[in-house]
Amino acid sequence: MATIGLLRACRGKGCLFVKNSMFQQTLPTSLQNSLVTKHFSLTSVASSNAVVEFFRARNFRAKRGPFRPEEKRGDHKMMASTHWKIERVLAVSMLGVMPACLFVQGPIMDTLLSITVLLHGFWGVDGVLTDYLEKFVPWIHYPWYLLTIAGLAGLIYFNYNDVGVCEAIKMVWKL
Amino acid sequence: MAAMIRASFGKGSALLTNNAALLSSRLQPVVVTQLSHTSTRSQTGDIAYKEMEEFWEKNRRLNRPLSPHLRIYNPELTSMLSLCHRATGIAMAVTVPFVAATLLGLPGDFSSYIEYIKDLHLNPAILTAAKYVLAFPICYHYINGIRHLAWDWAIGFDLKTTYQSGYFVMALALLVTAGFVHLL
Repeated sequence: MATIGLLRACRGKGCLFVKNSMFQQTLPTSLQNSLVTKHFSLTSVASSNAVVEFFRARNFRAKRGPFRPEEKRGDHKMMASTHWKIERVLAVSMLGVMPACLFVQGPIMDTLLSITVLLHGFWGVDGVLTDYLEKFVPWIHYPWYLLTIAGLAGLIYFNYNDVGVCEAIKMVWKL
Repeated sequence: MAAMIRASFGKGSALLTNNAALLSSRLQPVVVTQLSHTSTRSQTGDIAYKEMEEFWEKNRRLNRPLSPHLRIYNPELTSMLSLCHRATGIAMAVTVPFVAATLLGLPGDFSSYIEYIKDLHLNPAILTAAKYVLAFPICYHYINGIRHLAWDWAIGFDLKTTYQSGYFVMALALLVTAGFVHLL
């Protein structure tokens, strides 16, 4: 059954790598996808095999637009405008945090800096990936997510077991 | 049609026969093609997207060239500053997790690496240049970030203000960077 999905994905140009079905976390509510995403199907849509329908509904071919809002949204349910507002709230909070770290250091400031910088950077690069790279490499969000998680782990370890980011910046600047 | 597929998974074929019975009982001459869950407005959206998809399929099939964009536009202050904002943002956002994850894996604590760099006895000019490289992205991105946030509140959007604030931001960023490197 997985091979059917793989064979479908390898068909056609514009798809550099196969979207790994093991990363698909949620079950499809997208069996109600409209007809436009199924125009590459050669077999009839009303198949009774649930597993084949799972892959067919996912449409593993990399698209180069036009993207409908539901396609852009993916599987999450938050409104895009709400996410945008949260991004701005974080950015405005960083307007205060950045000068504050010049005057107040310590473990709390270390944690605050780590979380805000990583979160802001994650959403920013996520936007760049969505703008430019997603259409060529649709799975590009996953490695960036992994790198951010690894970075968070590294910073937590650094703040807890090593000098901490504020102290580290001071040490680098004294060189 | 999609509703029929769902029905065959869930509650058996009762819904399917109900729909068929309804259709036959009303003797509708028109074949029902629209999805039962979409409103008329989103059906129009579906048709529009379908037409756009077919247009782009034709473009790909005929291998039509893309009209030039980056090659023909003169670099303007607005676009260059925006590019700089994105470039500094990406540079910092990629470097921080990468360095943090690397330090997680490397042996020794941070002080040992500082000692190692001290023992290299580098030319102070190199160290100053390195500090410029480290300080400029954060200063520029922060100050231009204020400009971006002002735009998000629809302040300073007209072209004259954009250009003035652009020159101001770049000058201030360079000044603050120099201040950080030489005064701190």
